[in-house]
Amino acid sequence: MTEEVKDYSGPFDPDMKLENLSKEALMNLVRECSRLYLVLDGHWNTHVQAKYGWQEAFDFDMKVWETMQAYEPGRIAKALNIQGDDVSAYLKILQFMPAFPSSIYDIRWELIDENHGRITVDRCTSLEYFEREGKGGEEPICQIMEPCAFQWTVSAINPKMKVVPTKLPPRKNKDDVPHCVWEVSLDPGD
Amino acid sequence: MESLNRNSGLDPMLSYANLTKDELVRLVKTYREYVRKIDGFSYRTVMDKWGNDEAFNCDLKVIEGTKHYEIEAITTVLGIQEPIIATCVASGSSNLTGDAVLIHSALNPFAKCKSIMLKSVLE
Repeated sequence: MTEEVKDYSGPFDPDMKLENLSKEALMNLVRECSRLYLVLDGHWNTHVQAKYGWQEAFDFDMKVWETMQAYEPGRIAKALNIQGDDVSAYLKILQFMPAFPSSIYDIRWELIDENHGRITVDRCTSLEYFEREGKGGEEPICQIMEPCAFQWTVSAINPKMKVVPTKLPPRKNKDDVPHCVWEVSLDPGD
Repeated sequence: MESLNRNSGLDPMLSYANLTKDELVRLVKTYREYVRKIDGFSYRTVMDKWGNDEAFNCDLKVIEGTKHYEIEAITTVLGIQEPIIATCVASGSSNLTGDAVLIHSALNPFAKCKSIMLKSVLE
């Protein structure tokens, strides 16, 4: 039986499994998988845009994310044994969704009461990328795609929950923090 | 198996470091599934609109563009130093070993195998 290893710098082991890696190695692997997930989407978008233009690439991404955002929450809930369909469950699932990576973005999570929550993104590296690019890409992404993406995710958990942005880019200046804020609510009488 | 209970309320400071090893293993498996899914859905979305040839060509470019990233990420994260077949197997990016190895390699979060990917997407 292969013993636990802190990394895979040793010899090739045909029986190597994820379970044989140390916790630290697994944490690093999770981060890279999360990053690759977004990188892969970026490459698809880039190639569609290069051939068919910005609008087609945007429509393409909307379709892909609508499917993925509805698919992701259930898998995360299962992996981490998160049960329920309330605001708390949604926030816990979102903490580990690779499409909204807390290991890459600086995110604050608040459960205000059992039916209200708040997500504050103090730093979004995707926004910073669009700002550096200087083509205004943050406006359609942050103002059209992201509100849809948040709602697709929350609806997959509980169709009665709503996520509404209270602050979105574009930013006034580089010191304009947080980058975006989202209010989560569940109307129990809905 | 370690005992899991994530139902004690929201922990705003929870991060990967707080997860058990068993949870991290599950998360890696879940994320690598996402990687295959998003690639598959992207492929299908292009195919539905512009046809299979276009989707295939686009996918080739995506694989070409992400291959180096994948290998670099895996070798860095896991401390793999030798640029040999074992590295390729571990990263799941090799054409040397064939689909069977890619499918069965346990350390294969980034495997690309169109047949199983599309099958899983369509399930």
